[in-house]
Amino acid sequence: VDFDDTPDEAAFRAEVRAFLAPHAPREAPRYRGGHDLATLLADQRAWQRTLFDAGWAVPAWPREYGGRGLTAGQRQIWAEELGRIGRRDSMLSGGLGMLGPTLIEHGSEAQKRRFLAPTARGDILWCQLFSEPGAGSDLASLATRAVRDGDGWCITGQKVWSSFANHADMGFLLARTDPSLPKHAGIGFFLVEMRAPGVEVRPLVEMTGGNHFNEVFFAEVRVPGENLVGGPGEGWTLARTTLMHERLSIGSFSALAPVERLFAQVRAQGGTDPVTADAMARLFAQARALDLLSARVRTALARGQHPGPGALVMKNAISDVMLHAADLGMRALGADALAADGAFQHDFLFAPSMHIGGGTEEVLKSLAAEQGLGLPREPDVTRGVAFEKLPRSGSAR
Amino acid sequence: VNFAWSDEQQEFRASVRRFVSERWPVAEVRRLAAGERGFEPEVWRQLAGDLGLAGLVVPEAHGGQGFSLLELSIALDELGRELAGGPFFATACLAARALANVATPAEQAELLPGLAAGGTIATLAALDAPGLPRPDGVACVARDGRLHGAKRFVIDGRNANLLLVAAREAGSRGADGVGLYALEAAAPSVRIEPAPGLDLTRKLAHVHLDGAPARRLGAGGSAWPGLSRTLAEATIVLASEQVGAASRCLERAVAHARERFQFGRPIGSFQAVKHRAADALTQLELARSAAWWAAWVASRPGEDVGEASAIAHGTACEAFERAAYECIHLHGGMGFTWEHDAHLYYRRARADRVLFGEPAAHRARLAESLGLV
Repeated sequence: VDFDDTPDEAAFRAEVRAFLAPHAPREAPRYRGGHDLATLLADQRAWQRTLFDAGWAVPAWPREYGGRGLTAGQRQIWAEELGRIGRRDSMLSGGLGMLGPTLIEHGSEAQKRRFLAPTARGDILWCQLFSEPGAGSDLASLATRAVRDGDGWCITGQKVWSSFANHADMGFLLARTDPSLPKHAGIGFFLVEMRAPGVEVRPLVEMTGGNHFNEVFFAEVRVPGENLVGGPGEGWTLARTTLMHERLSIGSFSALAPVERLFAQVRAQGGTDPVTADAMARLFAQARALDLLSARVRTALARGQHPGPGALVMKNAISDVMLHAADLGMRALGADALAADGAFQHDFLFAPSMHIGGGTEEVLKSLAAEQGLGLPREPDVTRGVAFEKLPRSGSAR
Repeated sequence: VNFAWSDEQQEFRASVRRFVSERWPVAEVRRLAAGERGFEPEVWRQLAGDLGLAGLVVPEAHGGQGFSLLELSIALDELGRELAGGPFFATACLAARALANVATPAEQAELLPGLAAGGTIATLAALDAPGLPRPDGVACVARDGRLHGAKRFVIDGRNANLLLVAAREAGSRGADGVGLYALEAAAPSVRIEPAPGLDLTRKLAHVHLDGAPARRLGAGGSAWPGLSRTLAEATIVLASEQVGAASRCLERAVAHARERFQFGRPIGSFQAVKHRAADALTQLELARSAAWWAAWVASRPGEDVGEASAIAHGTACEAFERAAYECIHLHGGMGFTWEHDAHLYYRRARADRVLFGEPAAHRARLAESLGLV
């Protein structure tokens, strides 16, 4: 047990700092809902190009695909150091952190050659096209159809909760290739051009007043056969790889970051009352413990060990921290919390999404209890039943 | 960052677990709780002497094993699972660390070997009553080498033959004039009164000092910094004991939820039950992470332990209380009976919150150091 950087880690951190110092002359713009996404994207693309030219675009990827093959510990250091210069979040992370690793694991050589380098360079902004109006927590019940059309596919259906789809060049999409199979079996993983004929993107306005998500409609969109990743029935397996990488990237967030921001505000106004201070100290302890838990999980992963049940509770825990941080931030503002805009208004309005996106609180709790504690699964009425025979929302009358 | 235990530490954990499950399981703890001592001398001798646990953190030069608070926290984690150990916490943690933090090398050479061999059961009565460590919590007075006052709820106060007691010079205030004194439990003018506790498995006593002769330890100067560090260290390793106990509560609750059928299904297959267990698991995993880290912080001499002890204590208290409650609740009516072990853990969980100060009191201190008030 040692919570300092190991000599290797310290050397790596020094290397990262030496690289970042001259390349990071200014604070990056931070996404706050109302921000102009096109401006933000242009800035992030320029930064990604800089990283690419210096060989740091995708350090977590294996060397043969232009990465540096970082260990879990090094990846964390990389994320921390990017965080120090305000460069941790990127609109490009769908490609860098989710699609890229999925292609590396499951893509054909041709697909890797065609997509990995432009993705790393930031030339392709990818969006995720998984969720549907009828398939949220139960993602495998998705109904968007992919029908064979010569040597390609024809896609029809609707996707939703797609981040930045209105700015995206391409999307990775799950669609049903065979509705006569049970729901997990007949799903394919497709790469689609967002500007292809028949694709329509409708931006959503969220309760924050900003636009992050989109609805995406597909009306008989032609997708060439070479854009199917894996086999036509392997989409679910691939999606699990993608979602695992999404969770890994969520797991690298520091729970202390929103808490430090809150404390900076409180200190700037000369402190708060003892009752609020108690709640803040408790939040600090929870966030510190959560960062330690993610370090524990990373240690296990780096050593090729099972990360244990702790990995299954992290997303709910960080959501709780962010909810509480937003609430306490609003408390700290006092009367100024009444204003439309201020230091914590966006966080407060964004907070309810934390326990919905990336697996709802309830689904993740069930998963933690089943996989982490070995409690029995709920009886599953969809088991072994063809997708087309399943009851769906609106069909129960 | 390396969060992994070494092979040696894992072997050590396995050996303590083996011993506890064979010789000192909770059923035995329950049987012994009815007696005044709460432990079996022969089993204590094996744990303290043969296994060498009493001298775990005592330097090798003084007959101990020379390990750090990391190993101490491993031992307490394993003992905590079964609420076992009797005077282990008082002797191997409180007294051994108080001597290390306050006594002179010569005094350590004189007193530590007896502790390490397991022959001496020792305890520390720092404050006059359990609570947040503050120098004005020491009101007992030392005058002309004699102690006057009382110490309430001293851990294993009745079992100890060596008492380490904090007292202040008459008329002194704050940290100034606070000294650590050693005296035999059998010394004249010492009256030790058993204090039957909420927690049936950790034995407490009130110690009355009516002019008891005692010798001051240390090289002069206030003993408070050393005592304060000792109490913070104790809070930190207690967190590991709490984590061990909480783990066991959750394991037992889950095992029951898998076997108990209602409505034709194991009750653990219902979401409402799963979510209770998942909430307890979340708090437990946070507390476990904090407890390991805090033990590492405390294992480094000179490192400030205030923040680590507040974080470890707060998360461990919440996790243990939650798990102990769920252990009762998920066992249903059976969990509410005297016969079931669940209440032993529930009692321990609540009592642990009080021993070194309520988590809220630690948080108030933390909030101050964070500049929030």
